[in-house]
Amino acid sequence: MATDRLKGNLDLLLLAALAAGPAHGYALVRRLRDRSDGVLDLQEGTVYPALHRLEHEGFITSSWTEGERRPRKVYALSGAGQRKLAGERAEWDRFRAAVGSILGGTA
Amino acid sequence: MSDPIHSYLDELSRHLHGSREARRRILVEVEDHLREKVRELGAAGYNDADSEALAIVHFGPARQMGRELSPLPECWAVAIARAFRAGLLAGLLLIVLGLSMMAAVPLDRLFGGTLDASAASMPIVVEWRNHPCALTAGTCVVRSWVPQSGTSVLIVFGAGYLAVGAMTLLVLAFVQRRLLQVSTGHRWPAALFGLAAMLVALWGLRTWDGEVFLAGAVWVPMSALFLVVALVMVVRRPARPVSPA
Repeated sequence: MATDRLKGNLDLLLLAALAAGPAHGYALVRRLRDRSDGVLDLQEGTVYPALHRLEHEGFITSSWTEGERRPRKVYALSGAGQRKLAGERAEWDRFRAAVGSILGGTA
Repeated sequence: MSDPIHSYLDELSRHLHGSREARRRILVEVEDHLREKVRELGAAGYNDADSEALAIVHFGPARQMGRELSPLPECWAVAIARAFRAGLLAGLLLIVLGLSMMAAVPLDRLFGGTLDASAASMPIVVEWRNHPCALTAGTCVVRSWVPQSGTSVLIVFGAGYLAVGAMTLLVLAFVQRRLLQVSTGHRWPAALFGLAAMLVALWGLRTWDGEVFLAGAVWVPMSALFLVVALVMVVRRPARPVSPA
């Protein structure tokens, strides 16, 4: 169930992970896993189509850097991405509050 | 013993559709991810073989990931592949037809048959608009090099079919290299373009009053274009495969 929810919110999570600073794909996977205490442990390859889509839509930018052993693609949040993240966060907060109030009421 | 990461990247590459450059960038990025994962698992105490196997499992099946990572949507890739196969068949049929027409005359002479090529007097109209012609009572008599009947028409048209078939295959080869995923790294497309240049030039060869020349309007630029493409493909080095760490 966590995996399904994760897929539905992957764009938002990736933007949030990038808000902490530029990172390459694997570092983002690690951030998601670490910050969720291992709950959000997704199939790692699935982050790349999402990253490429976000890049295509202009929410993130990328650059190639020379890593220790090979070229490395590093992603960063763009201005549009920051605005999108802020909007998505506000929407998520409203959604969470609404669901929380319902679940809390039935508990 | 083959590197499992390389084997995985090879398989992923087979399922990626898009330009060679886009596919290469994806493969470099995926390899970086997998090597980083292997390094992390190794630091956690896994041996090399287990680390590589786990990294691949965690990344996802090559077929699925290739589909999701492809710069070119799969439906487009399938449509292009079908069009490619149809074009390939058409090109080959034209070549076979051209060869059979060209072979008809010498085979006929070889075996002493009586080839009646009058049936091959197709509605050919070769007009010489840009070349000198005999003037008769003020009227330009347009002379046709291609005979309206006779066995030589088979050779001429056979060469034409051959050239068109070869050009079809060359265009398909070019499209395949650019859109589909055939990173052969070989020089055969260059050789085909060179062959096309020669065929087109031969097709454009004309005789006029005993002199042989190349009819210029279409054939010279087309032949030159194929020749330039062939040279560019020879000079330009093919993209290197993803290098190991």
